[in-house]
Amino acid sequence: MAWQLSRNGAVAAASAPAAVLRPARAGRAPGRRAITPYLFLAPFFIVYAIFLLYPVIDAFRLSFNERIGISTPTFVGLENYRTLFEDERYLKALLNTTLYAGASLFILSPLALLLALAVRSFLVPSANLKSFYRIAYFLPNITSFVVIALMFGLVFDANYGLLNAFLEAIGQPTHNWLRSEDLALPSIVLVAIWTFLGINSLYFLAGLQNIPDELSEAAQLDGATRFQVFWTVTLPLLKPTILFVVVQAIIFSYQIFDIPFLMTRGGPSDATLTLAVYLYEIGFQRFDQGYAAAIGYSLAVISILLAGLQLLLFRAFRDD
Amino acid sequence: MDRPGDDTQTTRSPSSSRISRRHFLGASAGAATALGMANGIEASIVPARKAPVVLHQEAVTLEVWGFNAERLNFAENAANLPAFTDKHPNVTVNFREYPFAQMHDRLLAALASGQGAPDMAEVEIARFSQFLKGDRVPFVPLTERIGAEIDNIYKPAASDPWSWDGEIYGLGNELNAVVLTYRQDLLDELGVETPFETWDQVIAAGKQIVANGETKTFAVHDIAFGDWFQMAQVAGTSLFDAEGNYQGDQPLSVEAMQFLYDLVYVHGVAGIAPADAQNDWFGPAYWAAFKAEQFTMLWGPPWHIGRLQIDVPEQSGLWAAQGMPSGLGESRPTANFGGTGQCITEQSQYADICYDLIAAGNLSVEGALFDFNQRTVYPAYIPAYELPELQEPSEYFSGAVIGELYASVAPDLPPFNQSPYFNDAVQAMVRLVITPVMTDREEPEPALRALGEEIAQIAG
Repeated sequence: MAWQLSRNGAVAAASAPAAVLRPARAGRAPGRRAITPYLFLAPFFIVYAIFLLYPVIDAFRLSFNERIGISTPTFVGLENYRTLFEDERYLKALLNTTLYAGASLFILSPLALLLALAVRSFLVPSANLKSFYRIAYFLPNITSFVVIALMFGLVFDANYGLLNAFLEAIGQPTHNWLRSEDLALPSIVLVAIWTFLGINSLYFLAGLQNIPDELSEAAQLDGATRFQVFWTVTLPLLKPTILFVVVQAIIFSYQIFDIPFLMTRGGPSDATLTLAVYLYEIGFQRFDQGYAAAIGYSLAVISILLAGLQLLLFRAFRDD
Repeated sequence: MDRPGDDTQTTRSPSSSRISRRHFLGASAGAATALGMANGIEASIVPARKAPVVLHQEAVTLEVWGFNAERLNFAENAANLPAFTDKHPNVTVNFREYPFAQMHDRLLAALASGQGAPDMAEVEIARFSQFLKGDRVPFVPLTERIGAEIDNIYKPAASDPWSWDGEIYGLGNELNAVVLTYRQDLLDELGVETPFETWDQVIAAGKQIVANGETKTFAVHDIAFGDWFQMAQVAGTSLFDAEGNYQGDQPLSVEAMQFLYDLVYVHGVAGIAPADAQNDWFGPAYWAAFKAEQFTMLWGPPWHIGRLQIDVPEQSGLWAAQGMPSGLGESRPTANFGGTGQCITEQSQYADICYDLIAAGNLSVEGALFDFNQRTVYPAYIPAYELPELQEPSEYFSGAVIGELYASVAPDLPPFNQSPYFNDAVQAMVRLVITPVMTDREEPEPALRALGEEIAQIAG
């Protein structure tokens, strides 16, 4: 019957040009034809369902339960979520994470843009030099967080650190960078800037390369200054890239774990406690799985809300 | 050229034979949801697994997890001792080493999920408390198996930390008795008489040392709880009482914390220990400071002071050791600090074999001797103190018989009171007490009281 179908299809193809494509796909039963692409896709979805979707759904279920230690979960409704609002450490972690995200947004992202502009500008005239900078910018991104933490541990060390040695050399007072409640978070931010500045610059560089040079040249011919060209031509055209950089910076900032965990473990006295570090502490130190799941979901909700807000602010929906 | 089933396929309606994208995604989500629900149900009904009886002559492979290479060497040595191989000739043991936190986290996850745990694991004392939360302790009880051998171990070091509700769940091999060590050569130069009788004498000697230059006596930690924990025991108290109630805010605890503060900020004889988040007790910078003679005194258990011989070998013959001086609280001559025990998980099908492995290492002179030779660990197994090796004078500690010193203070080891909230208390103590007092110079008493409030809140 399949053969007949195929032959019928060929006949149809001869009489109707619109059906020309059909014979090429004929020769197999419709059911079989329909399922084949899904079979190819299935491994991804199966892995996705087991290792991502299932934990996400199960964590959601768990967030409505109390499960401390090796015990049977007890349904507690919204109790874990209610506790979040009364938990001073959670609120402190939220504040720290927000400050960190603010630094990513208002310090790291503009710096990354400046760096990208510098590489595109006359400051780096040679193409080889531009390539060198691109590679150099990417290197911190592929460096292990453990290595970064060790490296900056030596920079910030109170007794033998590079930073204090420098301050001492120029006659300035030294500090215990990672033990001071006032300086620990800025120190972590500094490490994050070093780590993520390069990759964000590359995003901006890619965005800048997509802006046709003719537009800038036309503006300059009309008498626009460098700043005016940047402000009225480059920046508006760079909006999609800025949106991407800002959204991913905010989302990843709210998930920051490695650097504070490796460098300070959230200390001193919670000065660098972030939501992800607190989640780990609740989940694996205190082993309060239900509450840890609620923290995780609060983190997800915050990230989604902030990303949505940014999309609205940038009017990305309307532009698209 | 019809094929079987082709007719059926062609007559099947498109809706029944084709899968839409929506259906496919829906089915995936449904399967994941079902998995989630099934897990929830499973977690509710699966009881603690019991170890079935196994014929020991059949080939068996044990899985052992640890976080320290030297400790795994100790376990591996036990697996090769005749006491074990004669009984279990066909047993193979796989030893897996993970980083400290990762091993304990994996173990927790495996035991909570009901599958994937090893037969045996090395569990550090503070992290052991995490396994006490919940409906059951996920380790095999060892009390009956240990039997009369219990009289041959120093319980506060060997079994107390892994005990809960009167049952022993793990055994450790290290005698974690705390003693005082100091640079005898420097004190001799200053004409200071040793051994010290009181802490006042230590402080007076410290002032002489400090007056000579940059050198301090002790390196007091400001991101780890251990110094307070040791001094609190010397003073006569601890973090929890025998019933598991917090007692860290009692006067003796406050006195211990004040003592540490005074050493650094009032007497000026001690400094803050070089440490970081990854090496909060001792790391390269810590030992480098001893090498550079920035610090010249140290209190601690063998696993701590024994590192002097490994990390500061050039000062061999310059150090001396003694029991803890009097003058702090109830003036106990020693304290009990640290340790790692071997536990059999409830998921193991070979609990008897695992216990024989534990006994071969922890309850034998051969096991004790191996770890003594490997890293100068003084054992918690009492008969091992008859070994001539443990009675030899220590070249590093100016010819002192350190084994004799430990044997003399070991009977005075304070009991280790475990609690499901021990690890929580340790973490909170660093945050609320140690760093605020030792770094920010806050008052010890309110800080310790705040810790009590936090522990009460955690315990619900």
